[in-house]
Amino acid sequence: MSMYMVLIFSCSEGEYSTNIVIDWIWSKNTPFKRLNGSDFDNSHSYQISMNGEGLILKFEDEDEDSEVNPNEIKSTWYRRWGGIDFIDKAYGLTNDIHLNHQIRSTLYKDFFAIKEAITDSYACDRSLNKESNTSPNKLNQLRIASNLNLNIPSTIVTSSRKHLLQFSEKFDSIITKSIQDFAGLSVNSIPFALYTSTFSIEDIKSMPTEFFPSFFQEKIEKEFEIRSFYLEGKFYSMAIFSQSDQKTTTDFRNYNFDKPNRNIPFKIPAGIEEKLHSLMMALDLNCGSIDLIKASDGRYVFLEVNPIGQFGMVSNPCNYYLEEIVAEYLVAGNNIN
Amino acid sequence: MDDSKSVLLFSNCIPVKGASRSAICDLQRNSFQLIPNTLYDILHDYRGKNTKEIKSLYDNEYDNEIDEYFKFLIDNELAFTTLEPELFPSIDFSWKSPYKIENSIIDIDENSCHPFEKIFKELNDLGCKSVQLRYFTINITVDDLIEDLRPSLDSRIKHIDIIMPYSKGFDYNKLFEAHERINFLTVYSAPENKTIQKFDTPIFYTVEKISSSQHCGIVYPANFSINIDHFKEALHGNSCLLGKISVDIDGFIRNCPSTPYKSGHINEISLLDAVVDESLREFWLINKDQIAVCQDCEFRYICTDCRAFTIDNEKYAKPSKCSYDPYNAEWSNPSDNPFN
Ligand code: SF4
Ligand code: SF4
Repeated sequence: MSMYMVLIFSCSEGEYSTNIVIDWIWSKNTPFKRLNGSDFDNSHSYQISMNGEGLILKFEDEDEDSEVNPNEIKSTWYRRWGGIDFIDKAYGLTNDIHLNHQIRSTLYKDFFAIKEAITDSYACDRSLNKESNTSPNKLNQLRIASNLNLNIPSTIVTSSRKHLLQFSEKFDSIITKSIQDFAGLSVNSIPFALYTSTFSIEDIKSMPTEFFPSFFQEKIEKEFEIRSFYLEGKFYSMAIFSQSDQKTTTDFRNYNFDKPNRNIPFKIPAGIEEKLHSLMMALDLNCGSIDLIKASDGRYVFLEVNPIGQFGMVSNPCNYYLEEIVAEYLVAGNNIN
Repeated sequence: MDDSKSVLLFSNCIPVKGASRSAICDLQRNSFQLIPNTLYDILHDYRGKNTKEIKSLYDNEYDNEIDEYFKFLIDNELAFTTLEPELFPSIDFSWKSPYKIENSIIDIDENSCHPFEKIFKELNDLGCKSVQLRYFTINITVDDLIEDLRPSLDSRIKHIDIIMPYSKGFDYNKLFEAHERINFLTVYSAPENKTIQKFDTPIFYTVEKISSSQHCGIVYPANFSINIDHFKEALHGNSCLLGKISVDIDGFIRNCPSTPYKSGHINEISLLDAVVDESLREFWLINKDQIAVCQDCEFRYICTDCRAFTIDNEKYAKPSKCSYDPYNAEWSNPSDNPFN
């Protein structure tokens, strides 16, 4: 009998953090199964069946013993899914663009239902994140954060140039970013990421009078940024000093490799941690990466929380061993019966 | 500067005190800055105190000197000012690893007949991440190399380094296609020194003749590793041998192929037996603070130690292939000196 106790949903590419967590789980002698979204594409043979006890997942190329049985799973980690672009590549290749679009969106929905059925059926009490709350709505986050008395930047969503102009006049500078988590676009195979960027008065003037509703915030003058990895009430935080370097002042993901930002361990004051903890509870997240700004005026300003942030970028510079901490959380499920 | 604030080193800039001067090891920017020991003492003894307090601890006799020191640190982006130094904890440099061994060197010459199947399987069971194969042979064909590495294909080994002799018309493409995990290739006795970037894996050509394990263990600043991984390894254990297990040309299992202690022969014992051999593990944990001379050197956590070639072959003596003298801050081999 296989006895997978830990189940990890991830994707096959670029998952540095997942790989290290898995090495730690391995070192703790706990049997685990990693499912990548791409395991379910049209190049794999698998079946999902139901028996009285639940949903059984079985891959044809593996021996019978390797089926994943929900009764054995004691903990799960929903990291990512990925691997759905096979739908675009393999289906809806007719000459009719509208028909293609309908075919693909139907298949996306079907595939999403399969994914949901799989993740739901393996849900257990000890789960790091869930499929259902991995797409953060930044507007909801800000509303709840503000209700909990966390500082947030002044924010508007508007489709009107007039309103945007009035908003921008109140601040030295404003920024724009995507409303929901945005992975990026590719144009002729050249990837474009959407970073937070400043929005100048010239930018505003170049807009039409009405436009697609977009997200704007006052730009907070910062002493430094904070990224905090949160797990079940604990915070592992890092200060990011980017101010001395023009290239990274708006969004530190615009890395400057010659003179990297200073990333060092930081301790968020206890009062702020308490509010952030309440926020995570309200968002039903037990794990995530929280972004804050320590403003030049001394305030701690909440920006957003990302349930699936890459925590390697906090773990390595601060030597927090977050991968082991995550592994321990998952492995500990086996001691609970 | 505002004296009510503290000038705090970024916690990845670590001051290390030597006999005659100190170095601030910048673990994020892979560099070091030399500073006088007086500044080290201020940084070490009074970390977190504000400038006013520090000045008064010196009876305000050295206010200008202290200002000058702090200006140097800020101008070089080694430090910042803050009113809340307690919110910036030092990095906890503890070292731990999910793997039973970290890396391995396999030496091969004309007479070696290593059981590669067994070696790679055992390395895999130990969670080994990187393996270096050093071919001290006159010639090596691409097919032999592909065959030696074949058992590594379905293992958890992530990086394979190869050192091999130059051979004209060698089909690198074929090798890299068969073994994607090769991430470093050094070709010695080459016609010229150059780096070939044609493939995903860079190839380093050197005219040097690296024909035996005697060529290892040279310590000089261009080789310093100034990063957090190396630094915590060096604090915890031996910066070359921590978690290392190797097989020499004759098949004996050692820390590295040049260290004297043999744990047994690869045909007779397994690498899993060797990792629990206390006499072998002992070398993993010899750190620079236990080594004569090095313990007084400001570079002790950023240079890579060598326990195979040491002065008078003493277990706790300084590496014999390092020309630095920390007492006079001089390199007896001037070409090693990074400031020349
Ligand atoms: S101990 Fe010395 S000879 Fe052995 S691998 Fe390390 S540097 Fe080379
Ligand atoms: S004296 Fe020792 S610590 Fe200093 S550089 Fe040489 S080997 Fe390294």
